[in-house]
Amino acid sequence: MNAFYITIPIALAISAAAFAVLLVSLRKGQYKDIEAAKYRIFFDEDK
Amino acid sequence: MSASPSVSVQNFCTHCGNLIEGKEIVSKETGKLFCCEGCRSVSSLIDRLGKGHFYNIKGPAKIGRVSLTQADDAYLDHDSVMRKFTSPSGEANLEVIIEIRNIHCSACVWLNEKILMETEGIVSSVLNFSSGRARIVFDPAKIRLSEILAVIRSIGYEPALFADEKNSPVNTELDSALKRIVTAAFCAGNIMLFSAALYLGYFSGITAEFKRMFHYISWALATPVYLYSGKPFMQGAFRSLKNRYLNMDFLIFTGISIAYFYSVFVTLTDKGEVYFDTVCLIYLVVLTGRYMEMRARRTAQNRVSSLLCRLPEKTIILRNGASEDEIPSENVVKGDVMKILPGMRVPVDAILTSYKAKLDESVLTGESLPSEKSAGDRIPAGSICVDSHFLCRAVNNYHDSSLSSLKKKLEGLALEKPRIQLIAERFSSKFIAFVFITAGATFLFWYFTKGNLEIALVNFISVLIVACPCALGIAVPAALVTNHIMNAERGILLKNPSIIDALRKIRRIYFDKTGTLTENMLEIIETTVPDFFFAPVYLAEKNSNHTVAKSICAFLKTKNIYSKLENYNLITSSYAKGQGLSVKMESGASELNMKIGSAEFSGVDKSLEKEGGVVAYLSVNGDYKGYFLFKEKIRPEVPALIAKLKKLGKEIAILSGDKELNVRKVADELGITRFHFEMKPEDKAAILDDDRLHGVTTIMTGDGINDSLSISKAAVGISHDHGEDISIDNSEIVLLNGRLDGISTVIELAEITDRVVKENIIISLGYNLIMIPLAAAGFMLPVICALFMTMSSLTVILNSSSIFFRGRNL
Repeated sequence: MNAFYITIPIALAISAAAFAVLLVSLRKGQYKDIEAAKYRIFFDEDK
Repeated sequence: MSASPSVSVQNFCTHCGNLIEGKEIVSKETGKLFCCEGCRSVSSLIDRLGKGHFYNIKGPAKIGRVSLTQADDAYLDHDSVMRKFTSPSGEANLEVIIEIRNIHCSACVWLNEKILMETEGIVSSVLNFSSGRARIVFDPAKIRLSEILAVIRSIGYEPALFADEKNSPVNTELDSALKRIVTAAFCAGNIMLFSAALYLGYFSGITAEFKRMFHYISWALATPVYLYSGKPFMQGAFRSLKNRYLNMDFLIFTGISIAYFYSVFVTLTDKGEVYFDTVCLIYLVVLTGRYMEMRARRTAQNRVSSLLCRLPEKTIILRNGASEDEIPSENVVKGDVMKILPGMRVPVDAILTSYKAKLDESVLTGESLPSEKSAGDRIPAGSICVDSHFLCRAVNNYHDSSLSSLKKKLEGLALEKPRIQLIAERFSSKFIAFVFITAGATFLFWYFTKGNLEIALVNFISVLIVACPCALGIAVPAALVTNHIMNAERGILLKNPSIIDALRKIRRIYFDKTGTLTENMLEIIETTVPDFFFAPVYLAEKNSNHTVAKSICAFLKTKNIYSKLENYNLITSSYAKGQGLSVKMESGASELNMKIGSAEFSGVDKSLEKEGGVVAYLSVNGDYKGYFLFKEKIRPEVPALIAKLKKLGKEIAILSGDKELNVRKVADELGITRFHFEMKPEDKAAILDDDRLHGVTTIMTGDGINDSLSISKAAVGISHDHGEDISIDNSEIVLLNGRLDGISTVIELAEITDRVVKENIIISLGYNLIMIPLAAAGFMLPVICALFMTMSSLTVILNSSSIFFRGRNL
């Protein structure tokens, strides 16, 4: 059972990292125009 | 020899993809076919710029036909406009938001971005797909605002400056609400891992060591939720204490605080169970409900502000009686001599200095036919010049004119309006007091009978949490949000979601006539003009802006006249004010002198005059050839709407500023027995006031400035998107697709929603009424209480979603 003392902090650290990434993407405004991404891939063709 | 046009073959425009009606236009360089000159010139510009990829992205999709508008935006470079619409970006650059109105598809976005990016002086341009707004950063030293708009116009789109609301309180509030939810969700998700272990441990045993560790981890996870996610509740609770008025925030915050601090106490003393998970879950559920409601409201506001963001109007001022100068209308001051061109609006009250003028005052008086003014007459602000241009002198400043004072009056009225949603809040306030009394009694009972603080405290929290009117709190908003979405999908915008309360009590519905029940165009119901003259008449009337002329052209377009147009050649055309049009044209060797207008003007004998409406007579070379009889055209969806509203048991009435004869005709046709005519805005408002005094709930539907006062007086004001800004401003409901049948949809959806709200309240109160006695009697653990509470919220949300199902056929 002593494994808990290692696995629980690891699990919490991983989820905290995911949470941090989510906060960054929120701050960058990635959810402001969720329509755009699926169209913009077609725009790059002629570059 | 003339080429025979191919009307029978179906050709589609290379640019816009629409069916080519009438004669196609062939590009000289490429041989491509176009439906109109606008499409051809835009397409050749796109080819010239090497942006043909546009057509690959677009595919066969249809976009709107291009109407190249000649707009002079020079006045936009005025300082006051720049200040209002731009914000600094970086060191020397400015940022502006331009709403592009006719974005149809991703190809439009692509084209606009490309062209803008390649324009000298533009640093970046990003178009938002869902809103159609471009955020453009530009260097004011290299390019002017008016030039940016000209670029967008040149490729056939309609730009409009949009006053930025990036830092508006609503948007920041929404952003932080999302962060609070995300935080609560993250912590709640993780805390449940440990709570599940603790629940199992409660039944099957757990070592004290792990129990303590899980308690501390839960504490660490619950603290950010309590302090950060719960901040709005904390603030609401303190506000409620300050105002001595119990609200839901106060109950939730008290319950959560007690659960939190009791759990801290347990964690520190190692005695009993913790309720940290309850703290996180309750906040998560309640915050999510509120976020949904806030977003619906924000969407509504956004759509209204984009309706209202029209470009500031401009006015031509004559300096020293000679040089013309264009300035924004708000800078017009008393004494300025203004030159008003056909189609322009008079910005301030003025005195006519030209000899004669013809004005459309329908926005102010509701009178459908233009009125004639002569020198020295007063011209009210807001009237539109119908014929040739005239000069007038401003009698007051822009902000004192009757137009803006009417607006101020309306703003004052809006504040007086009663808010409907208070009943639910008042009830929950009483309910909260009741919950506190019950919880207090529970605490005292257990403390004095058992003498045990923990048991007493646990039961106290159980009662508070199980009684927490969370479900009651979302009972109303959840249903309202669903209703809002349903309406939005049908092109109906509810500015205030709680309007359903008034909607289901509606007894009488008032309609404005001109522009609301009827279209602005007249319909030809009878003509005795021989087919032979259709083509020359069309040619003669084509260039006129008069309602009658436009109506004749719309009628003739359906008569297959295009092939004959080439046989005629227009020589001269002159317009006699209020009388008619006289035109000279040649056809082969013969010459036609046509007069289209009143009987007197066309030289028609009294005995041949036609009764019963607006009539235009045609004479050719002095011989009477026939007449066109017009009727106001009722909007196609109106008869069905009136029938449906009658079936719903509503009384219908017309309020019009027009003459009795015209109103009576429309009323008779629609089977409406109540109608009021020749009404001034104040008269309309007085009728609605009178109804309110007699307890009759009313809807007022209209579109003009003359309706805006009555719209704000009615219990529910409805306008449509072709309406004047001010009437849109003052109505609770805007029909964005311009279709009036939205009115019956709105009423029926409101009835369904109201039923759902009542069911929700019964469901949530039912949960509470069953659970509170059980919790008070000590049968429930706080954790189980929280579970039931979440379930009651879930039931309410599911029931609210049933509106989608119940209203699917509306």
